[in-house]
Amino acid sequence: MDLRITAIQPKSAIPPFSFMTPKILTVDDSKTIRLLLARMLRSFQVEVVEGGNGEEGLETALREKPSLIILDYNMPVMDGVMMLQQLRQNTEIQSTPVIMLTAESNPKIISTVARLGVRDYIVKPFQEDLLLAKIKKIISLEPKGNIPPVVPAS
Amino acid sequence: MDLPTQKLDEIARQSLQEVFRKQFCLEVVSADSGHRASSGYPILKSEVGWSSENLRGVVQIHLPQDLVREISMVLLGDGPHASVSSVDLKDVAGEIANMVAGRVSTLLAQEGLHGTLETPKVRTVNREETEKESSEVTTLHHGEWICGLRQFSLSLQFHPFPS
Repeated sequence: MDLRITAIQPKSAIPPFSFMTPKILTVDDSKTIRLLLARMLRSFQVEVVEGGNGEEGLETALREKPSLIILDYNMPVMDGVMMLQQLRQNTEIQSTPVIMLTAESNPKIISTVARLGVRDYIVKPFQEDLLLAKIKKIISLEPKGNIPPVVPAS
Repeated sequence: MDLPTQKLDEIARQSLQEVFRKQFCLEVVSADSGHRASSGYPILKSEVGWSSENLRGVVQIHLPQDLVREISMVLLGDGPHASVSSVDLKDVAGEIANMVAGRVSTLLAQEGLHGTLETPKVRTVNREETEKESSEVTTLHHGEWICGLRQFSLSLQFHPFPS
């Protein structure tokens, strides 16, 4: 069976693969880090949504169904571990991959989030190249303007 | 706190230099190195609490607002996202302290002292407040540092808990 996409869009239309654009949710109480991540990702075909603490992150995750969550640990209202626990209990979003990005390196916390199935754990300060490489292991990040060609049905 | 002062000085130096180099691509040198710099006011005072089972601590950084603004530009560029208000500068100062405290905590853990961090608290202080506070507080480590043409300080305070 040929599962290739058969729709052919006119040249002026919305990019044909726009429906596949991945969505990344960044959850950090620091606006600086959220801006930094948005800036890092702006050259890729990815939609970035944000949350300022675990509670906002959970609400946004339920609403937006992101392809990946980049999550801080130390946050007011609800910390990253609590958000992760609630995320894993919600059948709608429980399988969302999560990368922790935090200044916290306490082994007890690393072991707790590892049990909650985080895909990676990066300690701040972080190198953008390293974080991008970790993201690309989980979701496909296409540079903007590099849209894969539509393959016509044979 | 069983760590010798010399070890704590080394932890402070390594933490600052790693964060500034890795995250901001900026070099930091000790103010004792003979470089000339000015502090400038107002100062953004950022504190991050650290606690273990029997020890409480604070990582405290006094950063001139102008230095924080310069770091913001390095960090966020000059695009549409980069309009830096005073609230944003406090956020940037808090994140700098958070990262430095994170490195301090990691290096303390390598010395057998495992603790967890709190969220940063930032406020603006003037010259009088800074001088009054520095005369009242006893710190285990206090260092004056230079980044570019700006001078700033880092202090580490620890005390037994429960006291």
